[in-house]
Amino acid sequence: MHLMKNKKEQKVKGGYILMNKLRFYFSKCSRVLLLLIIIIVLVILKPDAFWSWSNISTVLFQQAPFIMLMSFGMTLAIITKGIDKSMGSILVLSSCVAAGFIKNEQFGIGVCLALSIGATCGLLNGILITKVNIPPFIATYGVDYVTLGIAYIFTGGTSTYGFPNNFRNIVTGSINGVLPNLFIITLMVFLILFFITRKTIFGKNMYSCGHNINATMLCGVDTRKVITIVYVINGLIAAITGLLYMARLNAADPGISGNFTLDSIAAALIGGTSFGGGKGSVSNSIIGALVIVFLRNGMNIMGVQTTWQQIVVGLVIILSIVFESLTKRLVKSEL
Amino acid sequence: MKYMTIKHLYKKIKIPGIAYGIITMFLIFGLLTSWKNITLANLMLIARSSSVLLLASIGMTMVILVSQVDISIGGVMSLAGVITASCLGNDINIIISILIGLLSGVVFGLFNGIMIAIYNFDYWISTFATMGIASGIALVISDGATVPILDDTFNWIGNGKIGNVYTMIYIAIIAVVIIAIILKKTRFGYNIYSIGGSEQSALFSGINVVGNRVLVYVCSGFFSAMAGVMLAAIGSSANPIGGINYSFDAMAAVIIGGTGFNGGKGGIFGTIIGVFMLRVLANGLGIMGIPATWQRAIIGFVIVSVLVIDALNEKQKRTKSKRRVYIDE
Repeated sequence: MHLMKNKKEQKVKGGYILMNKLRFYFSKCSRVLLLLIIIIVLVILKPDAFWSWSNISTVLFQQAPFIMLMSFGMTLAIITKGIDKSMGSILVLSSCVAAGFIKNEQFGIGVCLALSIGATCGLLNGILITKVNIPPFIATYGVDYVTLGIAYIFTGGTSTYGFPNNFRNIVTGSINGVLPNLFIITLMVFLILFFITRKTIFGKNMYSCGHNINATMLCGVDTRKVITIVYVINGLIAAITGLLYMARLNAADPGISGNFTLDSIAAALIGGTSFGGGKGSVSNSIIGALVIVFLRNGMNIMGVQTTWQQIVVGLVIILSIVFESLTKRLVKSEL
Repeated sequence: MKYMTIKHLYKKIKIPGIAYGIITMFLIFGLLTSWKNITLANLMLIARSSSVLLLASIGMTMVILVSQVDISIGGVMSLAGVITASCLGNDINIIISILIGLLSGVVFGLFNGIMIAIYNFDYWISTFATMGIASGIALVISDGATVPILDDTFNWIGNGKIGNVYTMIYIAIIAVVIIAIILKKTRFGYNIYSIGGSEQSALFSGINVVGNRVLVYVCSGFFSAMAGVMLAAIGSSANPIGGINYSFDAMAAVIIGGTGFNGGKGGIFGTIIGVFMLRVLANGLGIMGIPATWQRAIIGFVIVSVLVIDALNEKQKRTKSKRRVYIDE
């Protein structure tokens, strides 16, 4: 009898687990669905302007990679239950400092300088968060403030432009005229980060830090080191994005950070990275970034003013939080 | 006896260390600018610019006291200013247009409160998103340009004087007194402190945590809208991105004033000192003729270092208190 009861319970439980699995896949695929819906709506509304190879390739290979790169870093920070608001300013500072060297064809010094600035700012973030115990938002907000200030001092508010062609080729060029370099660089960064988060001990530690930092610390993991390294990686990603963006714009200007921070946070959240920490993945943020980029592109094509776009992005962030809490409730109530 | 009274008074008032810092800073700026900063006109200017930041910081103080943060203050400030300005531009009665501006702040505060207190969303990201929405709406209404205000009565609030003191300063003082009374003498104020101290024990002792949180966010929205309207009155025009920096400044002022992120400690008096520190710094740098690009970096650096010192102090206190427990046992 007892055994039979157990079996019955197991069957029922199995049913629940199946349902939960379905829900899980639905919540996972819902982002792809959202992306498809946006694309389909745009195709129906503006078939000529939107559904042309030149527009789609511009969006995919010229605009999306930057937001993707930034949202990778943001995803890492959000997984550890933090946030990195300083990425936009690190991007600006590293590109502005490197601009002078790169203009004189001293590529090695320029790139090294940009990367080291990114790493230093990231390290500063990490130290402020882990050693001094300032909440991540405030610490990165402060670093954001200071870095942008230094960038304005360094450039005097003016922009540097006109870089040598062999530097610009890194971004504008392509292999055999098929695969743009920018796409390949983004893919490489993605693969490295994917490997780190999925296959290494450091990656596992990162997720467990976000999930429960005290338990992780008691398990003998140096949580401070893990979190500091995450912010250093963020700084490096921001510096790389800065160099690429500079090559694409053919100018380095302290005003270019613009909407990067808001967009990359939105991309990470739409991708399903939960703000509670410990959940999410770099691959999800690709879809999030694509949603944001197509949304902005669509709004541009539809003739929506740029002033409206900020409201839409803000609403999208709120909707994604609402959606996340709804799916959480559904799964919880069934269990 | 005399010795007792002086020392007791000093101990009772409990002047925070930052206050001495402000006086020292003021004197240093005085020396550097050959005492140009200690004229009555300049003091009035400092007081006027502080009163805007002070109004914005009142809400932030209350939110940080319940150990949360409201970043949407900057966006709501710009929005309230723009809405009031465009209402005035459409020949709507001045009182009604100010009320509409304040209402927009209340609506956004309510929105924040509902999201954070009732649905338990993360407060950083919710208020960050509402900041984006509020400043976006401000840009849409103003069409991206500064909205001029031609109403003389409204501009009098910003630039007029009653007995040699700007009108705005009276408004700020009244608001601060009301909030100080609310925080110290009413049930709502006690509840704020106890929720910040420990949410669990507040819940167990029967305090309506959710309702109080919503009310705190509504207050924050209301006061930041008020600050936005005042900012518009000072410049006789409403800038759709004029309030952006105020979120961080208000947060910094509150933290400098000794209200910690752990909540339940501090109050409006410290915030006043924090606000004065930021404004004295900005004013002194301005008088010295330091370019705006440098000012941003210097102020940011000072704020960050104050935050670091505050956090380190807190850490030391915690270890000290732990040690005391150990010795007592």
